[in-house]
Formats: sequence, C-alpha cells, structure tokens
Amino acid sequence: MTGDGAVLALSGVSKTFRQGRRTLAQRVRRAPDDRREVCAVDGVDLRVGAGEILGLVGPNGAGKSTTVRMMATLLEPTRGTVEVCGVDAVAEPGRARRHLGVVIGGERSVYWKLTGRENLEYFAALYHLPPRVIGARIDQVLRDTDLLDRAGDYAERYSTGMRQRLSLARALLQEPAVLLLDEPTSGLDPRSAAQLRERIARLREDGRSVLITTHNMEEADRLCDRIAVIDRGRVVRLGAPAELKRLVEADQVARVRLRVGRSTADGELVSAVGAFATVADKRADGADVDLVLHLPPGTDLLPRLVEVAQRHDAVVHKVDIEPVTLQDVFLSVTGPGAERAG
Amino acid sequence: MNRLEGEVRAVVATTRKELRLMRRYPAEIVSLALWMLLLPLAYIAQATALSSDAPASVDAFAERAGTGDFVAFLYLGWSVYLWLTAVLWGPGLALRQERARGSFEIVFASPVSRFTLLFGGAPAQLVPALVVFASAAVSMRLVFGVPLGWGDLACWLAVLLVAFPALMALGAVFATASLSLQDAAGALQITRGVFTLLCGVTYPLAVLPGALRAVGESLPPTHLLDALRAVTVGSGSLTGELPRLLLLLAEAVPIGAVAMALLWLSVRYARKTGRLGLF
Repeated sequence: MTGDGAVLALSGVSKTFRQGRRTLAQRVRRAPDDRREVCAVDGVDLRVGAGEILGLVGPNGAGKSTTVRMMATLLEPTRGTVEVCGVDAVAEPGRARRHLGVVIGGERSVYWKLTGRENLEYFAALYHLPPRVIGARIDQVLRDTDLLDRAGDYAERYSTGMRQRLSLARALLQEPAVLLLDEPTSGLDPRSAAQLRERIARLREDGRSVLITTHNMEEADRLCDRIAVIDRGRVVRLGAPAELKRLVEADQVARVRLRVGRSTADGELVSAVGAFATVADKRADGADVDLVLHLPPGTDLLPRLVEVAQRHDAVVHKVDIEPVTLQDVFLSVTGPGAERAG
Repeated sequence: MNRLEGEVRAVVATTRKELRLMRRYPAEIVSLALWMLLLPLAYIAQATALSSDAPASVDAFAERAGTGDFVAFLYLGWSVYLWLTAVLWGPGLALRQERARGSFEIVFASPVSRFTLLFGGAPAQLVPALVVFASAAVSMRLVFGVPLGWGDLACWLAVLLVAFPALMALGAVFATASLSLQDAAGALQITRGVFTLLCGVTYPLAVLPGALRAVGESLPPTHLLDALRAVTVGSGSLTGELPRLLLLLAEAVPIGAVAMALLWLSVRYARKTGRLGLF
C-alpha cells in the first residue's frame, strides 16, 4: 500500500506513441525519427483505495485502455510511476503482477477448446498457486461466477457472458488485491451485464479494489464509488457519481425536438431558448432540431418553450424531462468544446 | 512453493494444455502421419525412374550419400523436414497465435517467467515428432521392406531426444521473430525452403557447391539428419555418432539464448510501443 492507503496509485503517468512506421532502411542508416508523437495519456494521477471501485470513463481513443495496460504492466509509461500495493510496477512488473487480476480482451482471452475448469487449471499454474489449494480455489471462483455447473464444458460452448465470467474467474484465481477490468460488460445482453455487475459489486464487499473501464454511464453510476472521466489522455473530472452530477448546474435535463419552419434561423431559436435554460447540445437534421437543455431549479419549461417556438415559427415535437445523469456529465465535460478541469 | 517449483509446474501445465489442444484438433497430427506416408513416395518413384534401377546409378548415389538405400535416405530426409515443419508451424507460430487469439496479453500479465512463456509447451512437441517417425518407420518397413528392427528404433529415439532441444530452440527463435513480422507465414515458407535446400532432405550435401555445403553442414537439422542416416543405413553406430550428437545437444544452448534475447528485445519493444496485444 502507498502512504495514503491507496492500493493502486498512478502519479504523473504519460504515454507517448510515435505514429506511423519506421522502415528498416531508415533504421539501418539511423535516419532522424521524424514521425509525429501522439500523447495517448498525459499526466494522469489516480488513486484507488482498498475496497474501492473506481470507474474510468471516456470517449473512444481517450486513453482508457492505454492507462489500464500501463497498470497491468503490459505497457511501459513514458513518464510517471505506477504503484500496485506499494510495488513499483514499472521497475518490478513481475512482483506487481502478483497483486493484479486482469480482464482484458474479453471472451477471446480464454482457450475455447479447453473446458472452463481446464482454463483455470492452466492459469492457476501460471500464477504459481500451490497445488494443494488449486482445486478448492478453482471451485471457489467458479462458484463466485456461477459457472460451477458448467465447468466441464468447453469454453466454445459458453455464451459470451459466460466467457466473460470465466475471464473474471481467471482474474480472481490468485486472490488479487487489485482487479483491472477493461470493458467487462461490453457485448453482453442486459441481463448478463447486470449479473456481471452484481458479481463485481460483491468483490468490493470482499475488500478488493477494482478499476473498471466502461462506456456505459448507467453502469458506472450504479457500480463505482468514484469515477474518473478521461478525455484526450487527461483526467478531466474525478469524483463520486453524485459529485459529478452536481457539475451540471441543473436539476433536470430536457431532451427537446423542435420542427422549424423554412424561414427560421436555428441560431436565433437556440439563443432564445438559452435565455431560460443552458443548451448543452444541439443537433440539426433537416427541419428537426434536437436540443439537450440543462434546467435550473424551478424552471417551468413547457410554457416558455412553446412561446419561443411560436415566436420563431417552430413546433415543439417532443419533450423528455429526466433527472441529470452521468451521461449528461460525460457529454458536458468531454469532446472538442468541453472545458478542462482546473 | 518456491519460484523454481512454480515454474516447473507452469511448464507441466502448459504442456498438458498443448497436449489437450492437440487431441482436440487432431487433423494436424493425422495430416502429419499421412504426409509422412505419401510425400516420400513421389521422390522414391522419381529416383527409381531416373536411375532405372541401374547399378551404376545406385553406386553413384551411394558414393555421394554414403548409402545406396535411397528409400531409407529419402524417408529419413522427409521425416526431418516434416518434423521441422511441425516445429515451425507449432511452437514457431505459438506466440503469434496466442496474440491473434487474444490470450497473449493475459499470459504475459501472469507472473510466469519469459522462459516458460517461450518453452513451456515444448515437451508436448515430442508427440508430432514421434508421429512423424513412427509413420516413417511403418511405411519403410511395410511398404518397402526396409529391415528396421527395435534396435534401429531405439537409436532413432535416442537421436531424436538429443536433437529435441536444438529443434525447440530453433522454433523459439522463429516464434520470437514472427512476433515482429508482417507476414509470418511467408517467412515460414522461406525458412522451410532454405532448410530443405541446405540440409540434404532429398539429396546428399556432396552435390551442393562448396559454400552452400559448408553452410548446410553447420545447420542443426543437417546434424540430426546425418546422425539418423548414419545409425540406420550407414556404417555408423550411436557411440560413433556421439561427437555429432553432443554438438547437436550443445547447439541448443546458444540458439535458445538467441531466442530468449530476441524475446526480451521484442517484449521490451512491444511494452514501449503498445504492440503486445496488436496483430
């Protein structure tokens, strides 16, 4: 553990890749490397405490998987330090791996022509588990992931959800202090995803720390104690789901569709709406204009919206009003126009 | 459990996994046995046609090859060729296949040593080797009446066991090199072709130009082939072949070291560039 009690700690972690290929001829003649440098992760600081579930969310290409791979010792940071249970994972990856359970690559990362139990027997040996505990440990993780009754079936006969659970069972084999789960519910149907989320939540009760990446904001909201929003390689927001939702200065979010007349100028209409609500997002598709509005407390939306629509030769086609969700936070803090955290 | 014991158990588990996968994908083993039966037949027919069974032709061959038994000569040549092919296709592409399958990163993220990662499944590769040579022995004995006895088979087994580490080390070199290759299958074909040309699979090395012969004579598969031919149809014995066999055994050390160094370099490169999980 680190001084502040974190079992997983990233300090100033950056990862830079060079884009494009360097030909053999260039290497041989030691030509200057003029490939463009791309910063995939830029000075990330994260701490995961004991028994905590930290969610890492962000758009595609934001640097989530790169960050997880650096924690998993699969990728070396260009700068910064990664500590797992007090072990410097960059300098001593072998020691750090003893504290880590990794689920990366989803269902492809198990051997389809081996049974569930055979898969686990193989990995138990790779984790150097003592032979006297292997049988009981395998039974335990199979029970924990509800696979015990199908342990003798080939993994190829499992559903996608079962193979994901088998990956989780494998990660649990060496009873790691830290679990790194890269999009574990990706590709699962809602029921399987919910079951897997339940199992992940139980890991926290067992005192394990979990770092999970996901694109599913509802999942992050339900499962995580804290969430780090990562965008363009940087952590742009970090906090408990409720704290993050307060970043959106509204009680409610309205999703509105207006059908505008030919003479209506979108800009004027949006400015008029902006007088009583924050326009968080706007998309136009032909005559339809979709708006996402953040509503301050006490806003009586409908009469004002109808009045503005009439004034601008538009018709209110649809209005959905919902409480603020993490999705709204995500949309407001990521993407090209989003503000950086101070 | 200490580290060494853990690694030994990991090697045993990897071998068991490989054996299970071989059993569950039996077509490769069956095709090896069939190829071993069929492939030499075409060359034996060709040799028969070219020599017209004329004693002068066979004598000329014997002068260069050290034996006039071209059936055994060809069968043993193809046995080594097919074993080498099995090694290149099997352990030679194993890491690449793990990466394509998506399991490479997970195996890599375990605390197991890089040595086990590279050589863990090697003991299982005795199976294709034994299948190839068993098929060769059956074909030679039953189809062509080559007088093979249990003593000959015991000599083969001894030679195979001595050559096994060197062949596995060659496979490991290819395995690590193939991680960085765009077209591993193409590289495999070229490698196989070079060995076929230089190791005397279908002809005695004496017919090669001097420089090529020198290169061929320095290759481990040539030593294996020469030893097998010497104890089977030549005038050699296992004890007579001991220097060559010891050399073959010793060659495994530097080749294995090259494989480990290559793995270290390619993993280091992959950990810096993020190519560990890419295919």
